[in-house]
Amino acid sequence: MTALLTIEDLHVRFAAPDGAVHAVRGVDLEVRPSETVALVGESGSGKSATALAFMGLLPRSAEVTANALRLGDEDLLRDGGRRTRRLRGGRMAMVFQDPLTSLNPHLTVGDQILEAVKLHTDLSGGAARARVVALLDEVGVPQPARRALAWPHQLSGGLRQRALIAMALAGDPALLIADEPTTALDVTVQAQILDLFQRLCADRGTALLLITHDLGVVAAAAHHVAVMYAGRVVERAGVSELFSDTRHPYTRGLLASIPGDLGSRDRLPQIAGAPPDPLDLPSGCPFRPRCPEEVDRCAEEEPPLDGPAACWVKGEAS
Amino acid sequence: MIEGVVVLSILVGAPIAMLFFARRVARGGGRVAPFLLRRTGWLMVTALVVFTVSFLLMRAVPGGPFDDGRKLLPQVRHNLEARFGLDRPMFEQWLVALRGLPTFDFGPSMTLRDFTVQEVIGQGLPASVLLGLTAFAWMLLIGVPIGVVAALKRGHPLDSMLSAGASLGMAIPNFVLAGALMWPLVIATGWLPAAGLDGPRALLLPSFCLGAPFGAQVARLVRTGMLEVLGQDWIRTARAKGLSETRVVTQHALRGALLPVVTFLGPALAGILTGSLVIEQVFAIPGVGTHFVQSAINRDYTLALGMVMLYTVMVYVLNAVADLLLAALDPRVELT
Ligand SMILES: Nc1ncnc2c1ncn2[C@@H]1O[C@H](COP(=O)(O)OP(=O)(O)OP(=O)(O)O)[C@@H](O)[C@H]1O
Ligand SMILES: [Mg+2]
Repeated sequence: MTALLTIEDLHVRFAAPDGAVHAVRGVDLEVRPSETVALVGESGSGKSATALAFMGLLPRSAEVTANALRLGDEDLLRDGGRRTRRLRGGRMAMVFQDPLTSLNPHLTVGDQILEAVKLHTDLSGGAARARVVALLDEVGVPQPARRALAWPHQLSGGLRQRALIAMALAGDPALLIADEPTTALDVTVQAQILDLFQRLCADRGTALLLITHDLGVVAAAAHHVAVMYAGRVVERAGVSELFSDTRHPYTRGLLASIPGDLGSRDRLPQIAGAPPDPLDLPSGCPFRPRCPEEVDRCAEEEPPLDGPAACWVKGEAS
Repeated sequence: MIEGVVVLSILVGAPIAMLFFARRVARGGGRVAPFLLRRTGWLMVTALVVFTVSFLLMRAVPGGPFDDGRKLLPQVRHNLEARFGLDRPMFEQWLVALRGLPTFDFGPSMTLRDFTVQEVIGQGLPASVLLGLTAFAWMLLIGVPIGVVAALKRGHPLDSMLSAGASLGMAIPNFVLAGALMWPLVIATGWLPAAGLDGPRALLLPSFCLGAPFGAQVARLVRTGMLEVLGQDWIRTARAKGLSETRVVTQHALRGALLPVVTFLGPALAGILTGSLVIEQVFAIPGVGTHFVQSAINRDYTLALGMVMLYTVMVYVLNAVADLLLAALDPRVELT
């Protein structure tokens, strides 16, 4: 099956006062239709930058280069972002981390979803409005017709995130990108929203790129996992392989520090040491200063992701 | 003619606008009726205090309405004072004037004796309102686009130019601006009339001079507001929806960026009202502004009182409208 999302050799650089931050350093990623791929990694590893670059939502100050960015067979690199804009909110949609700040406080929830409906469907007038209510209903908003008239500040965080999901579904996307969609929510609500994503994607056959800190979520929801460290994917595997045959010492560190079962909903626990300063990466493998298994070669050359993991020691396919 | 149109459109337009704002506010859960009641109550209190204070202060300063240099026979002066009730006890005078307050019926002007205060206001107000409204339009016409463009071109030379222009514009008093523009537009070329208010062309320069400095301030507010709003998460959501950049700006960013301007409307309107006192003098516009100054100088007790109360009520009411507008634009704002 051909991939729905294709990213080849993506680089993202942000201009900073003391030199450019090379936030994404050659990421390759694929998501196939109807499949859920989790993108995990510590804060600052470039997960959001990768997703936003694909959606064309990075600020203009960001410099994006890639060998390929494709949605299905649409080449997103070709016409300077115009195609990306046309597909945005339609065939590909995104849900963000903080529902409290992601809705326009000056427009009703319904009007904001209506905008997306009108933009991506042929519906107008009453039919479009009815569609808004149907979408709110589909994402589990109680009393959807009344909630459509509400202002964002009148709704709880969970309801706002549902409204944002409804907005993302307005164009019936083939690909949904969710950037830590539950991090800002109460623990009880987190589980509900995750269930919602799983149900929606299963019902609609939507592919999901799920960015998360939560390995419990990964185990429960994802088919494939890509682990990011310092702007690169350092390990990639099917979800069961990742947990049963963990390669990269960084991934091991992430897993080892989960207390008890994998169902824990904690944030990524700390591995000894801190993520490297993107302005001053160590030579060779960027994980080297924190790695318990370092060998001489690690200081000389950064390991490529040829097999399951980008590691000189553990990277070979078994 | 033109004045009549203005008065008519305000009389029709203002209630419609208020109703529109009020409906929006009510839909967001705001309570409009208590707000209007509260504001009306406070207006009455404020008016009473301002009325009493100015009533007393006017009589406290030396000189009276009939001390204009000419020698009056004692009998004539006495008759005049009797005619205007100035021989009565202070409290009685206050009470008589107070009774006229709701309708601005303060009796005849003491210096323009052929006219009542109502008539003087009735004749001058349309021109002043016309001037004020046009200045207000200039303010927004100049301020909003410049602010938006400067924000969108942030850091670009155009932004620096516009921002520097705005700083300059804010610092220039309106009569200096009038003097500076008078030469090229009126004296040297004769493009625009120098004085009076005959036709729309005559309104152009005075209203511009009155509105432009406030436009400069609005430009700065819009630029700041715009930059803040454009950095918000919900702008990214709007882009993620697939909206074009133009629609992101006009339908999402602008509304938020204009909120600081709406908060500024109260002070701006007060500023335009006081500024028009000067501009009406400079351009010899037959508005109420001239009377405001002259009545105070002449100790024209009745007319001065009418002027003070007129401005008090206008500033107060316009502020209430601005607050209502703010609540209509931002449903999180509580009406107080
Ligand atoms: N707009 C920006 N301007 C400058 N630097 C940025 C910007 N956005 C991200 N960065 C930098 O790029 C790097 C990657 O950021 P990114 O947001 O992609 O991380 P992340 O993996 O999503 O982290 P988190 O889990 O905290 O969301 C970080 O070092 C960050 O400081
Ligand atoms: Mg992120």
